[in-house]
Amino acid sequence: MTTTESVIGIIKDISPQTKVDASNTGHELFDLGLDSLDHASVLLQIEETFGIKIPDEDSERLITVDAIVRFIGEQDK
Amino acid sequence: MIGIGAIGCYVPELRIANRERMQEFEVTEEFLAGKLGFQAVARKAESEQTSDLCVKAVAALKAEPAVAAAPHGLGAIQCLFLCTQNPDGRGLPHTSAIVHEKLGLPAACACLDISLGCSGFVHSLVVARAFMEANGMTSGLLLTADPYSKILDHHDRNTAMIFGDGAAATWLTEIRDGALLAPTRARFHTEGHRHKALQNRDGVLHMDGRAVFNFSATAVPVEINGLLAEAGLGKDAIDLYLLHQGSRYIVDTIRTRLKLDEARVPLALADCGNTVSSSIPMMLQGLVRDAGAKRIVLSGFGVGLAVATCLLERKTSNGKKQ
Repeated sequence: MTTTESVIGIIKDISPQTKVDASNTGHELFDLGLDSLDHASVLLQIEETFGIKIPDEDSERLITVDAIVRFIGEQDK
Repeated sequence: MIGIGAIGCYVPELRIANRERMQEFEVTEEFLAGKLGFQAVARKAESEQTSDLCVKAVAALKAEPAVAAAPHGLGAIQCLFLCTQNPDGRGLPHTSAIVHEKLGLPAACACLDISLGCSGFVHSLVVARAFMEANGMTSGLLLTADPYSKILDHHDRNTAMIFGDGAAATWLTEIRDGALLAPTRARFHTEGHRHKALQNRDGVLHMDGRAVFNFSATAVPVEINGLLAEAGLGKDAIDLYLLHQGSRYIVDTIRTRLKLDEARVPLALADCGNTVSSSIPMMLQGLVRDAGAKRIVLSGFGVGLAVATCLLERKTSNGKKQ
């Protein structure tokens, strides 16, 4: 499973109504139906799944799947 | 052995309907019901002091059947613990002393304020029980009253639709006839390095929602699982889990992480909001009266950041479980 697929899976698990898929990974998640509470849950799950820490200053820009995937990739380097 | 004899609660009549503020705070009805869980927040009158809320909760306590039926009512109160971070005036004197006067309690009565937020009831319950047993006391009051309306920015989306005013009065008494719920085991957890996530800054409440959420969602399940392991109990051995009602979302998140069914993790206070240290005793009130629940786990979490978790078991006078 790719990182993108994992991230989409996490979002769909937490917020099934969010219309996110492989075709709209650059779209803002809030426009796709995610709310602020679910966003906090998604970031927590990302932290736990990938064993990383997302600082507050980064959390505000992690609002697309692409941005989240890019951030995870940067932590590996 | 000291147990919970009865609980009385007071919630001010005034309500602010969150529905009427949906536009201001840019939230939907679905968000209010499904995520926040609070349709309205209770607000004390401007003139009502924290001590007044306590006195009204004690009046409700005196009307509880267990107190009304007791030969001497509450009896001579030997200690009064008041958990608040929004005391009368500036906190000097301690508000418990003011309540002592308003209730006309005897001089032979210890009065202490305890400064804690949403974990306050559980922390204070354990402290009060130990204090009473160590000093041979048989009747005491544990009051919780933390009217956040005193420090809210009423236009802050993070807090204004969440916190409501209210108070609870818990009568702690020696178990004689019958059986009472008593705290038998507890666990505590504090992350002081995160204290800025929830604080009164220059007279205004500030809450870092993400930090509080992450703390609650991760620390509370660990504490509850730890408590059960220490007690040698499985999750199914517990009748109810009463979690501090921070919001519907946080209660649902913790419940999901613990893999518990909805029936054993009740939601409450939709009509009055998060009443801080009073949320747990408000849920516990009816359960104290009803002997149905034999084992209950309480978990309060928030300011500190801190978690206090305890196991309540229904005990008889000889300490046996019922």
